[in-house]
Amino acid sequence: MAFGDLFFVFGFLPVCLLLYILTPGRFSNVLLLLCSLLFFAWGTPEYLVLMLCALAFNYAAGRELAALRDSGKKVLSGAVFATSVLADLALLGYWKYAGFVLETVNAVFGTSFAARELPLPVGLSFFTFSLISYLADIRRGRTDGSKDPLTFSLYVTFFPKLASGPIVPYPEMEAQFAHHPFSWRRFGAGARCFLIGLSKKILLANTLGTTFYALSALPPESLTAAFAWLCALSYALMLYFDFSGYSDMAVGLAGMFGFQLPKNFDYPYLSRSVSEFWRRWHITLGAWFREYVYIPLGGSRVHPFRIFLNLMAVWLLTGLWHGAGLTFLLWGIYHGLLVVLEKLVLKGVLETIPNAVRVVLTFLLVVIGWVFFFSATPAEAFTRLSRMFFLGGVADGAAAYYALGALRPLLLGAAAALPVGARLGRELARRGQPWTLLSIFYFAALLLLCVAGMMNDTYSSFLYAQF
Amino acid sequence: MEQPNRPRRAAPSVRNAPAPAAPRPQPRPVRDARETRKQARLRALQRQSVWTGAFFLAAILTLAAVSLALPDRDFSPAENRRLKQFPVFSVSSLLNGSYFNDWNSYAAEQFAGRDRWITLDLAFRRLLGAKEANGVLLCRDGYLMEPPAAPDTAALEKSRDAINAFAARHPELSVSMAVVPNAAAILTDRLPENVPLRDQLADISAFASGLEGVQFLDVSPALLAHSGEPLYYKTDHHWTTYGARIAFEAIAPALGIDGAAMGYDTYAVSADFEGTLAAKSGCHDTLDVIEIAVPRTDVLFYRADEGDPARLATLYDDASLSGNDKYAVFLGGNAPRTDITTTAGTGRTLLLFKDSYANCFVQFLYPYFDRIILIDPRYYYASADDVLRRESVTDVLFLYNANTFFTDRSLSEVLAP
Repeated sequence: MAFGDLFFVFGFLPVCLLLYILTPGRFSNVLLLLCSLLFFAWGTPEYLVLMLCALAFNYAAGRELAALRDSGKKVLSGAVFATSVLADLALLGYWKYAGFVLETVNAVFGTSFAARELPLPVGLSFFTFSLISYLADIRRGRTDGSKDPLTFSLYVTFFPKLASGPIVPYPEMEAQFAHHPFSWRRFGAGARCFLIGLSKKILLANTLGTTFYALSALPPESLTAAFAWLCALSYALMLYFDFSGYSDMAVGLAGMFGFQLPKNFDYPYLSRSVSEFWRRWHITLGAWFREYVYIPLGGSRVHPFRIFLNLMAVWLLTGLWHGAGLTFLLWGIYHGLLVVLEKLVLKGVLETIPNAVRVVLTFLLVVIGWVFFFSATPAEAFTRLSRMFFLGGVADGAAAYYALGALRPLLLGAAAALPVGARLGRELARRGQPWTLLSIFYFAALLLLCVAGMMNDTYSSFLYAQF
Repeated sequence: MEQPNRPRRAAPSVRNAPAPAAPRPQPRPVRDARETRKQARLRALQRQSVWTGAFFLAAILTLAAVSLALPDRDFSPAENRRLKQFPVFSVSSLLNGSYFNDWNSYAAEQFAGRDRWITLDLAFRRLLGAKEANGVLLCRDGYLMEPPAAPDTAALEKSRDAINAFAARHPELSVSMAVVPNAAAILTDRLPENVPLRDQLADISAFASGLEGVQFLDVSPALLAHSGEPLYYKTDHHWTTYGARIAFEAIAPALGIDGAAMGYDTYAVSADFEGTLAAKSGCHDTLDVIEIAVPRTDVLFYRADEGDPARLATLYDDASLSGNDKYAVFLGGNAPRTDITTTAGTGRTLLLFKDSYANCFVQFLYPYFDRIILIDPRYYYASADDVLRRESVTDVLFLYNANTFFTDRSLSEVLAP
């Protein structure tokens, strides 16, 4: 069940909301936990037991860690911590990376191990990272963890953030579990955020996706430069609206239930450097890697060569986190090298370049990175890149057809990727009456178009009389 | 409701007012005015939030309630398929996940006003410049067309070899073949500008050049010469009776028929035909007219579908006109084998291997043959040689449209010795 499904918006969500409004405050966490577990089980109910086991194990590990930490048993607490984190990583590894590892082993040693094709548990990459951060935060004394297993379970499975984040460290949410009263103001702000996210996903990402999937289906060798760029640009915008839309919906949903989640995107395509891009794109993932990998490895307070190694380790892992495959690894290395370049070599040089130039340059570098991200194989990525740099002609009639078709979605997307719209909306809303009414009409129009778009996703005609 | 100085919400104003919590010792008019304005704006913003929230909740509850209250539909004429019914709970459907999936489908398919939402979405996407919907090209003058299919090379070679071998096995027969190009290859001036499509006419020529001992009847030049006229339905993938007639008159001499001499009475039998492409694209803003052409001839006939004892003195099936697939008015749709026996007295029997394009072509052929045996290899499982052993066939015609033929795998099976 995705936030962009009709069933979620018009079935699951209203039922949860009504129950939440009607349930007395002291039972609201239990209700949210039940909703979240149902959300998790939707689609892959067989993993519910797995989830409950992971919750029980990590809850116990957290309690144990807190106790050992407080009694000063460093070695033992280190052992408990390492074992539990390894267990969580094993969970992630088994479901997400076993296929990739076996494939690599097969390729290197000529063996033929067959990987089992298992469906991924909902939000696996996200909730395992939440679990690891929870344990690490207890170990470092940032929190005592949760004494209440229900609260702990809700922290891990809270359905607005379960499937695709944001990844929130436990201390940031701890107080909210005790106090998250329903208020119409918060609910409204959440609904607004949700509608904007839904529109990003359905109206922009899906429309750009149509262009992207049409273009990416063409053989990469035959691409002209115009084609290859069109393809990469539509992907860059599609991915942004897809993911930032999803994050907005998550923040909005949490808001409706009285929770405040951190924002995950901050107009990343306006970044002036790749390092800045990573502080504005999937913010909570970048923060997680900084907090739980980079800084524990020594961060920036070590020898430049160690900094280099630390940065590369972080970006290798970032690449792998996004997908089990060679292309994601290359994408991670590419970003790692760019960040290293900025941090260690170009220090001081970047500042001398005008901001506008830096923004454009960073955007182009990021778009080139996405080519690795969406290509099926490294070879395909390099073919695409060579075509982007004019090794296959500039343009042809077909490029004109697709460019014309993609023009309006791209322009609309480019406009929506800038902060002007949101700023304008806030400014107008502050002016009072007539604008309030107008904004309601605006959101009504968005909802109308989103329902239409969601409906079309399920449209399929059965052609029994096909010829 | 408005308590703007509560610490939680005072946070954003910290930048402008360094010490908001401190009680102000003296009244400071300028600052107060600013504060009031800021408070007013904050209130407006909060009011907007409350209204947005109320609207959102009302909207989703209303739509959900209306969808639940409205009776469920069994069948969607627009999509030409059965719709999901209320999910039935069972332990096994719960465990394999299908129960939850059923809910997803049920919510979407029984949503209030589903067809209208689809229309709205298509309008929105066209506004954004979409030239295709669900794989259907949105063309000028309300035409919907399918892009020419890429030939399935292996299957096509198999069909060609089977046809050549069949012709070689039966040198006594006069064997002809016509592959009819689809709308996108003929009505090119109605296509979206620059749309990259396969050159279907080239694909047809390439195929024709591989035929041996078979007379290839090229209908493309005649259709191209009339490309301004309604040769194909706007909302369906078939050609019209008019298109079939143009093709018939072009190839009749090669079939040994003086087809141009015949006059026809044409009748419009349906004016609200919405074909498969309307269903596939979701674009429902055009209706087609179905015409039939009745030859002015004294030749009588009856038709019999295999396995059906009925002898019908008509090529048309009135009942189909009130159904969803109105093109089935021709021969009642695709039967595995249909025999037409006439009083033509020409001494010729035609064995016609065909797809649905031939269904509206037969009305032009029947006055010239004593017997026509139509075989649709997609549904016919006996062998063609068997038919030849039992019937005194003189002529064989393969009549297909390119999109079907280029991906067909059934003809070679039927032709196998």
